[in-house]
Amino acid sequence: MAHEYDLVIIGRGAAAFSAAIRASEITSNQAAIAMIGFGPIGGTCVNVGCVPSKYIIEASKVANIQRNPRYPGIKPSDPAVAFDKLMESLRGVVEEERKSKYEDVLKFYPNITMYEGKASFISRDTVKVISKLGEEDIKGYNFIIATGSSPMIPKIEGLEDTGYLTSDNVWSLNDLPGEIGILGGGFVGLEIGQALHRLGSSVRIIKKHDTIARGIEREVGIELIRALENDGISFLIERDIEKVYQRGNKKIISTRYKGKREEIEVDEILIASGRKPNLAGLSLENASVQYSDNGIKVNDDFSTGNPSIYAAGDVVDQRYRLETLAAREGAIIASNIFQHSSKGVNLQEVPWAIFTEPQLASVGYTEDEYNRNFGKAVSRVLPLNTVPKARILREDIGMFKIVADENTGKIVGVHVLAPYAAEFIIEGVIAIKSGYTYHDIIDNSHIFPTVAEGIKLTSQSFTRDMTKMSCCVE
Amino acid sequence: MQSGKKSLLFSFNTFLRLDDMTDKKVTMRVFGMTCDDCIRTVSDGLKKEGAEVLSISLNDGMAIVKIDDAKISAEKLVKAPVFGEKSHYKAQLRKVE
Repeated sequence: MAHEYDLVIIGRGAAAFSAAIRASEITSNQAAIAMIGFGPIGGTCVNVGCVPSKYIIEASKVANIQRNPRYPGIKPSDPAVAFDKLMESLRGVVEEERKSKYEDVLKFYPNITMYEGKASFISRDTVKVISKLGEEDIKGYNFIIATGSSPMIPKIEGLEDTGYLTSDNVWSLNDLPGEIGILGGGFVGLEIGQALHRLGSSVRIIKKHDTIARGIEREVGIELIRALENDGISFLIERDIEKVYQRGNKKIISTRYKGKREEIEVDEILIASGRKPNLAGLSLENASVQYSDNGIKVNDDFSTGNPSIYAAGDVVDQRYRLETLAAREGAIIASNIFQHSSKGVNLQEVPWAIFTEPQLASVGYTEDEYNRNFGKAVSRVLPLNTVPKARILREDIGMFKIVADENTGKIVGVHVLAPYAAEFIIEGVIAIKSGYTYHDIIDNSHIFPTVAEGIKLTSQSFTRDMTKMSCCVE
Repeated sequence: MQSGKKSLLFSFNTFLRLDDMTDKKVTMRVFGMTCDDCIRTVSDGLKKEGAEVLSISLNDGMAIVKIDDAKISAEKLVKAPVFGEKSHYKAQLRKVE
């Protein structure tokens, strides 16, 4: 006979934990919850995503400042980087975070039972869990599928034989690659690429298009490429990759560029071509859950074609794959199930960031998107070097762009390439969510001198000539 | 249980019958109950909606009630104020007979 649970969660990352904890809170820890998964507990973010990447990014900033001090009078020096020590400490931090934020948290929720194994639907309300201990059936009155995503590996001749790194396994490196070729210009590639470059690798990013990724405000993306090139990273664009192969100790990336063959010799290849939803083995057709290669199709309340099955996080067919979004969706689904709510998430109010230096942070519509959908956008762009704090920081490359509705003046998009952008994009989130106009932004005092003041200055530029403004003009 | 068939069920306070064609026996899982006062609060909340309480168990959190489907549906009953967003108690349907 199958074990029965009030809620069965397939997956054990951010969305899964958020859903399980919220469901426990709502039901006073009385909902019997099964959480089924395999691999390191905690999912992508803590193990191979945000935590290790931000750690190495911050470490690489220290090395970079030593090599390139921003201010005259401070002598530059080459940092002596013991890469193996750095990576060992990185893995230690990951383990610590995983333990404190996931493993240890479980002890507060005796109503949650962990199953180590792979779940596969055998009917609309039952999964078979296959583990090392054997097989068992688990019945649920409600399900949440939160299996996350994995790096997308492009089909390139010779890739499997030559070997490559992804954001899943780059963290096990102990030797800094001398030369690294990054295939694709995804967020992960840019972040890891800049970090490895600053630690001493020679980094080339090989891609087809001259922009970062679709959905990014184009001019901000191009400015980020300029910033990274200024940092010393090479962007080889308009390249079609034909094959890769091993030659001696080197890996050769054979590309087609302007009709000619071009070979790029590297020590390591990092794949950064985006992510794909983890759907394999779930047998969703047995549970009447619709899906495509892009993920599980959900309604506004994250329910699927089967009303007792919901999906959250990276496995969902949606625009963004973000840890915070996954966690938010998990909590909302718990509320939808146990409080009979029908809440959703407005993706136009969800911010995201690339943690390069400078950081790119964004929320809402790009100007093109708004024009396509509503046909009436107005925008202003403010170069970073017009913000006094940026000049104090001696940061030159970057910009602020605000997109507003032409008729109402309401802010519909905020896109920033600047130091600390990820820290203050929340002002854009609140503006969009609250329906603020650029006048409302101006009406709030901003601290001088801060980089965040750029949001106010850009708002002022809708109605005034900023070259005629003194400091702190309200 | 077939609707319309006369049967006796163990009730919360007394013995009740499912007589009418629109009578339904509803089994629900109630979360948040920890004591006799909780049972009383949930029971009162269900009665306010017109349900007759047949049994409520602290052990497994199961509540069995009789409703007149023409007056309140089982789906609406689990969204009653006693199970509302601000309430400590939540309910989910398990069976409607």
